[in-house]
Amino acid sequence: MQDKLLSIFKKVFKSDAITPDASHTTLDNWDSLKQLALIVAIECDFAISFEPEEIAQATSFSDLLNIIKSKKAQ
Amino acid sequence: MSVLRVCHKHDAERIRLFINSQWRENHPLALSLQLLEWQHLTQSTYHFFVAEENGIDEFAALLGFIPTWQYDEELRTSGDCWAAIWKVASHITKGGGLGFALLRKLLAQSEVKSFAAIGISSDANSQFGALGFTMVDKLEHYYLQNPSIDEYKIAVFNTTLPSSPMISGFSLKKIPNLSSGISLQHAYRPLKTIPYIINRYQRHPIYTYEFYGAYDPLARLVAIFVCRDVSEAGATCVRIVDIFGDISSVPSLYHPWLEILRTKKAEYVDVLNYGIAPEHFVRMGFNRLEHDDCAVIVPNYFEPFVRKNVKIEAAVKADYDYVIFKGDGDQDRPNRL
Repeated sequence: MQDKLLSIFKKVFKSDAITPDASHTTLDNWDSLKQLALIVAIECDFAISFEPEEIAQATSFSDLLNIIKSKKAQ
Repeated sequence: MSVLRVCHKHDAERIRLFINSQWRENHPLALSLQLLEWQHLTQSTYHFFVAEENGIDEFAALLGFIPTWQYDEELRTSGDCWAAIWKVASHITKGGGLGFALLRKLLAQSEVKSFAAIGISSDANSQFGALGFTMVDKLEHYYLQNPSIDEYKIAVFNTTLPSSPMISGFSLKKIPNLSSGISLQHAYRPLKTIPYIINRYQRHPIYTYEFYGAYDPLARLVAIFVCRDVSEAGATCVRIVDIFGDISSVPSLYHPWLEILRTKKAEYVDVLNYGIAPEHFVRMGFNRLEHDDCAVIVPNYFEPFVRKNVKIEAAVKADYDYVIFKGDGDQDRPNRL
């Protein structure tokens, strides 16, 4: 699950240097467009749907991974 | 921790402060409570979704929307909404996706069945496409020139005039006062009603609109053109901001429009539209504007005035054939008071 998410991050941010500690404070170009691209790609690849509040609060790789894990566990 | 919620009447001051500080100082919606209420307040609910952060009084983000039932409660079941102001506060520098979250929140409302954002930036096109919007395109712009003007101060017409279309049996007559007793069905969607037209245009708190009925040779009303005169540098033009009814069988109205333009000494009449086939406007006597051709300039921005062709782009999420006019959403809202 983590590798799959990491692959999405690398694709969206066009960088192979992304690591699981990535967050909006460590990635300068994590803007609203990137956030949108991330959410759309994650929803598609993991077949899940984010709640608006989850989108608002997800500001790091680990936030997103936790949300995915939680949804997949349901 | 972000809280996403719809606004209530008691939020008016915070909404106005946000718009003033985060969108533009002295924005009309911040200056005029009357305009804000007229455009966004229904009963005790303000049509804004906002994001709030713990311990911070100023909203973190705001998305305004205008449902058609803002102007006619009967339209609530249609569920058609347009976006208005959409802004994330400047202190939210990156990440978070608050604007996107607010849009998701709005679209998740059960009574919202269609949604359109009109006047979006080119950058936002890909965003809306990724969100599954069914149409991301520009509005077509049509115009009918008054050849009697010696010097055009608003438009630029460096072309030869097309030949005058034939005279048809259809006529245009000013309707001084729209009443709910008018019997005319709207052929396009989002659905509109005569009360919608009355409340949206005739009762506008700031702008004055005029209504011209198109009548067939048997004097039957087939369409209503909602117009607003716009002046700049001592010159005038007539802008059709909405068309109610059905123009699919309306032949040339070139000469009736020309008579109106000559009476007003107006340079031209124009109309922005998406969703109605161009041939209907061409048949009525209008020309289609080529946005990238500088030989003809038909401005769209007047507050302040910009003498340029402007492409207005829109994104739509709807499961039916969608029609857009300039008066939809907040495209024909005063931009300075």
